[in-house]
Amino acid sequence: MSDYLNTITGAVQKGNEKLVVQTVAKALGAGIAPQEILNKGLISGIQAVGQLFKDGEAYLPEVMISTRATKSGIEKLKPHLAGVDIPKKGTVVIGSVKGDMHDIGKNLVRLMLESNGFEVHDLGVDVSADSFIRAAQEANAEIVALSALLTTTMVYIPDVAKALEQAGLRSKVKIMIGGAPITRQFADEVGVEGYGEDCASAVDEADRLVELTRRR
Amino acid sequence: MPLSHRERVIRALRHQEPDRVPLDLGSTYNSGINVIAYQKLKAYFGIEAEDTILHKWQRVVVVHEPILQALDIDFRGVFPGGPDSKPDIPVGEDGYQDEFGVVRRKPPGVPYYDLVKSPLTGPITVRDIVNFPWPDPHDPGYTRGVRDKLLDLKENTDYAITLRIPGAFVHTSQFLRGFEDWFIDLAADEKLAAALFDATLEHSSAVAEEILKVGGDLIDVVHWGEDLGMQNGPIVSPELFRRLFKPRLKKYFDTVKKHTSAFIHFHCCGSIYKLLDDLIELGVDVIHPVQVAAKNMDSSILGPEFGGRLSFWGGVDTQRVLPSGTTEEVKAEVRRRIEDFAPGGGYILGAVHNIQPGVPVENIIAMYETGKEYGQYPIV
Repeated sequence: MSDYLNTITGAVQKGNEKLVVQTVAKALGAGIAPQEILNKGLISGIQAVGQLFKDGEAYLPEVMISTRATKSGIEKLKPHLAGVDIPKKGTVVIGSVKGDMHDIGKNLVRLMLESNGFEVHDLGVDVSADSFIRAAQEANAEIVALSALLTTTMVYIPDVAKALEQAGLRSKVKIMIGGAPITRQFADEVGVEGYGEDCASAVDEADRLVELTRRR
Repeated sequence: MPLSHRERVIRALRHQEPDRVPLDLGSTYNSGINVIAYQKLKAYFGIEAEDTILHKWQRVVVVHEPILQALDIDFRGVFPGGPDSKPDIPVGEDGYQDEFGVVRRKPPGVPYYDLVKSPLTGPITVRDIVNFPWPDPHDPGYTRGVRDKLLDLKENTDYAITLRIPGAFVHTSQFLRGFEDWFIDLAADEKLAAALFDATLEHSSAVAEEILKVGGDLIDVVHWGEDLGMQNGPIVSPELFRRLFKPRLKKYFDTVKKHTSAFIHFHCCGSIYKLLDDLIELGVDVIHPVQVAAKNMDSSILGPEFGGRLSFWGGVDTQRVLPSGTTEEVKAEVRRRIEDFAPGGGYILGAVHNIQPGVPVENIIAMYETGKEYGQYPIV
C-alpha cells in the first residue's frame, strides 16, 4: 500500500504527471482512501518540492512541473473525494492588484495552495478592490491573497483592505500579500495579517491565517 | 596628464588602476534612468528640454548632455533601431505589439509596459517555431545610422563608446513563449525549448553580425542582456544551464568575438554567483548590474573571489539604499562598493539597474559625487 503512496510522492517530486495520475488510479483501485492518497502521496510530495525550492536546491522548472503533476493527481482524485467529507483547509481568493500584469508568482502560489488542500479562486491580473470583495463574498473566503510586483502597484494593497472594511468583511477575512517589493514590515505597516516570501512559504502562511480565523 | 574618459575605462576593464573609478549613466539599456525619476534630475540641473525615450517598455530616457557632463559620466552609448518592416503596432488604448508579435500594456499609473501576450504560448510544436515569421535580419532599420553615430563619438569625443546588440536567446524566447510555458518546457519538453532557443539564436546572431559589421571596429564595449538570476539563486539549475544554455551562449559569444575586440559587458540580473565561473569561461569581461542584495552577490564576496578575472559594472544597491536610504547611507554604500570592487581596477560605478521612480534626486547626486571623489586611486 505504502508503495503506491511512495511512488506518488516520488513522481510528484520528479514532476512526472503521467506516473502520478497512473499511480493515483492504481492506489484507488487497491482501495486506499482518497484522503490518504491526497495527504500522504500528493501533498507530501509537493511539500518536499516546496522545501527544496526554499533551500535553493530545486528551481522554477521543477516547481512548475511538480505543481502541474500534483494538480492532475488531484483532478483524478476529485470524483472520489466528492462523496467523502474532506474538510478543505480553507478558501482563498487570489489576484494581482490593479495595474499589475504580473502573474507567475501569483499562479505558483495558487498552484501550491491548491496542491496543499485549499480551494482557490483566481481572479487573474489587474484586479480591482471591488472584484476582490465580490469574489470573497461569493466564495465565503477566509483569505484574500494579493500579489504585487511593483512598488507602484503595492500601494493599492491598503485600498483593498479599506474596501473590505467598508463592505463589512474585514473582520471575517484575513489578507495575505506577496511579491518582489513586499516585505513583512510593509505588511505590518499597512495592517494586513499575512506575508509570504515565496510560493512555498505562502502555504505555511495560509495555514497560519486559517488557524487564526478558526480560533475566534 | 589626466586620462581621457576612454583611456580611464579601458584601463579599468584591463584590470589596471586608472586615475579614478569610471562612472556610467545611460550608456546601456539597463544603467540609465526611468522617465518619471528623470524629471527630478532634470529639474535639479535646470534642464527643460523634452524627453526622448531610449527603451520603450522600461521607459528609460536619453540623458541630456549637460547632465552627463556635469556628473562627468565616462560613457556614451549607441543603440541600433528595430526593423523597418515590422514597426510597433498600437493595441487598444494602452498597449502595443512589437516586431516579434509580443504585446505589452501600460495601465495608467504604472511606470512600465508589461508583457500580456506571447505569440508562441500554449500547445505548440517545433513546426510552429520553424514557421515563425522572424523579422529579416538584413532589414536596414537594424543598422541605420549606427556607423555615423559611432564615428561621431570616436572622432569628436573622448568618451568610452558602448554598442548594444540583441540578447542571444533567453529573453526573446521568454517573451515569445510566455514565461510559464518557457519554464515548463525546460522541465517537461526540453526538445521544444532547445528548438526555440536555436531559432531565436539564429535570428539574434544574424542581427548582431549585421550591427557589428558596421560598428564592431569603433567601439570599446559591446553589451547585451540575458537575465539568469532571481533574488535567491539562478532561474534554472546550474546543471540545466550548463547543458542547455551554455553551449548556445558560447555560439553567440564566438560570433561576437569574431566581429569585435571590444570588452564584452554581459547584463545579468539576480543571484548568479553559481554561474559566474561559467560566464567567465564564455568570455564575459564585465558583469552588470551586480545585484548586490541578491543571494551571494554582495561585493564583499564577489570582489575577493572574482576580482582580476571579472570586472563589475553597477553595484550601488537599488532595492533598498538608493530609493529608501538617507544621503549619508548612499554615500556609505558607494564607499563600501568601491572598497570591495575598485582595488586593482575592474570596477565601473553605477546603480544596480535603471534608477527608478521614487529615488530622491539627492541620492542620485550623492551616488555620483561620492563615486567620483572616493573613487580616486589609490583607493584608501
